[in-house]
Amino acid sequence: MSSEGAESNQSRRPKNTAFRQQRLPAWQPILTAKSVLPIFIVIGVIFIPLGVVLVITSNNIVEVEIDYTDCTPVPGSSLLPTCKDMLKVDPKSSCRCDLQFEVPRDMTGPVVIYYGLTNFYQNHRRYVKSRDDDQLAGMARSLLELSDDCAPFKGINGTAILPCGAIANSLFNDSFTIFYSSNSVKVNWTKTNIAWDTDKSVKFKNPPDDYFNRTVKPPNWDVTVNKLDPEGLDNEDLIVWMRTAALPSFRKLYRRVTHEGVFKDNLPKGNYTLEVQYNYPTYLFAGRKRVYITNLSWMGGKNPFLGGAYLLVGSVSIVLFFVFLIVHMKFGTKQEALLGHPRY
Amino acid sequence: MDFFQLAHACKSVICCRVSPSQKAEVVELVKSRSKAITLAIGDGANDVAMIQAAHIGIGITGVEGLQAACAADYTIAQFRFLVNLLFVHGARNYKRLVDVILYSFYKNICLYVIQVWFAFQNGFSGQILFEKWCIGFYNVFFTSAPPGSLGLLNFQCSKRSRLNIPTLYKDSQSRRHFNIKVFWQWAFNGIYHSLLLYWLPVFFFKHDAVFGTGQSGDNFFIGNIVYTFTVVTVCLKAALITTAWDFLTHIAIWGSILLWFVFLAIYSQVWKFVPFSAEMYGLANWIYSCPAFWLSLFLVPLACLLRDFVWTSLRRTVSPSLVEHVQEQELKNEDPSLYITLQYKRSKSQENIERTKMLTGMMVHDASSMGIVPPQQPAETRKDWLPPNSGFIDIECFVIDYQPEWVRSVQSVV
Repeated sequence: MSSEGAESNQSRRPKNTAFRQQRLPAWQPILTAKSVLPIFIVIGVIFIPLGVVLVITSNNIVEVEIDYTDCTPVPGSSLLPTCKDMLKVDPKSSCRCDLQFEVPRDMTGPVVIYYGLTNFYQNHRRYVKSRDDDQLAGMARSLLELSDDCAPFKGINGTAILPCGAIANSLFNDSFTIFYSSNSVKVNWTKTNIAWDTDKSVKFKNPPDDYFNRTVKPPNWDVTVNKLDPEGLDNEDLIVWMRTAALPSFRKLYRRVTHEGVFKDNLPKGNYTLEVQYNYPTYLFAGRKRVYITNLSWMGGKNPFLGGAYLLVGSVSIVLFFVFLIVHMKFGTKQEALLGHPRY
Repeated sequence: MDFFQLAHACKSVICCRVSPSQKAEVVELVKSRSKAITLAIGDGANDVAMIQAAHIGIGITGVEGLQAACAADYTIAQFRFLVNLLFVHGARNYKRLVDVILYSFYKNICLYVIQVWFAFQNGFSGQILFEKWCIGFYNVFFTSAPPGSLGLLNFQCSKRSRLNIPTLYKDSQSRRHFNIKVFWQWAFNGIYHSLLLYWLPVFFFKHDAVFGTGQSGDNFFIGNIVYTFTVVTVCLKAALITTAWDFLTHIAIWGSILLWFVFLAIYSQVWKFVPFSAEMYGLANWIYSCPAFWLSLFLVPLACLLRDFVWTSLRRTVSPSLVEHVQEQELKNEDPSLYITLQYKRSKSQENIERTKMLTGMMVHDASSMGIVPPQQPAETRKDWLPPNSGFIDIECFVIDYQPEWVRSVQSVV
């Protein structure tokens, strides 16, 4: 409303501030072909080299993937042709198999081992909520106090399960050993710092000792939680497993290679043997089990998509630069002639 | 021809010596017989019926008291303010409202359709990708300021241009920016963005080895990354729509993005102190220290908005609308009507010709029956009393009154 009404009562006039009268100084950008040309060049010039760097970094990473779902057991460890069949018959049995694999290039450190599962929906809603975070943080919760989300893995015969819930119950329990074939040297590794440090320091703490006696282990486990290696709720394998993955095919960090001896700087090129203690039944969900041996860069493991996406967007940007240049020549200048002055 | 058809054919109609109920009846006649939006303006108690009958009633406070003002949708102090009300505030606020509505649908479609794509990968179990309070606060904190700035502060061109170029008003009258087609364009844009916002991060993070130290991520790790990209994309889309940036707009858009980053950092520490949202604990540490996150932060919103940006710039270069031309002229400190005179010359359209013919015949008939123009005069000279440039200036005017003296005095003006 204009404030020019001379007859209007002085006190009823709206306030004459820039905000009230909508007079705030404003920048009005004009987006025409000509004015946005520099943006495309800048994007192209930044993204393409960055994409190249990322692609090269990713390509330099050496990754070995071994699918051992259908591995043949070592003689004497199974009656059936594959470990998978044996677990189908008796899920609690254990089977051993050996696989040979080759590292194509020297894998400069740090080298880490992942295990991977497919078709395992850790992101299912009922599964994700099936845990009791207070119990995991060290509170001694009785059967009644435990979260109902843990059901049906809340208690057995009136005794609480520690740790309760479907996530803990389905803990991955295959174990591996790797030997460097040329002189049968075992690859040593650690399992410290494989979990998120924020998890280990705050979310997972051991309850008072007597609580272990008042609880039972989850049905699928072989040992109670205080007999894990290392013992307790802050076992890093457990913590890593409890971080439910987002997608049905996932990897979880298993071990970090200790770089000493033959493997001081790298995992040398050559033939290796993977020994698997095959405990985890996958036939129920028709999943594949894999082991990944990879080295890490500042970006993590192999990630060709990020570099490729940068290259793609950068190239599209350069193409758009030329498209906009042509559009500006064709249409912008036509209007300049009409108006008698340059378009924006 | 009936009364309404004749009146509708005129540019303006003067009804005099009408009672308040007849005023309302005229308005209702137009409302019922045409699809027009009616506006009634008056300052006295006798205008109240008309003001309430019309779609938009405007009351003028002042000489004749406050009855009309109290009954009206809008109140102004002087009649001449009507021009400002319509052309400046009306047009601007209409565009602002349209922007807010379309943007609000778009941003929510963007966020929630991402959950639909995730459902394909979580066995349709209903697991949410984002944490529940993050979802709850999306519309409250992180994306509430941009539509606020779009709805309160945005404008296309200056007040002066809007007043000097009434043709700009046609944009709102014709619903060019707000119809079913435009709505679906925004909706599909939201779905397209949600596709990119979900699948690009999934491709970048699905191999789980995204940290230099090797650890793997989890559901809410990817979820909050996708959420971050969504908030950034949606706020930058508001930035693309904004045509006038003042300092409050800057605060609204960049502030919203910053607020999310700060919120994530704080929310990730809450569980240590309060037994609440255990799944969020520690996420900020890990997200902010992940190089792949920062790299894709610069890529994903840009990839989403590239199409919007390219389309807006190209369309504006190839076929700019009148508003856009006016904007450009203003910013060059030139008189915007320069473009109008070149492009929008008033031409005698077919419609105008028909109307003039019909009206001339009618008026001559009435005038002759009232004894003003002798009936025996030949047809050509009957048109003498029309002003010389009537085709260009359009002063067709139909008088509804049967006081002969009044008609004669109007004729002399015409």
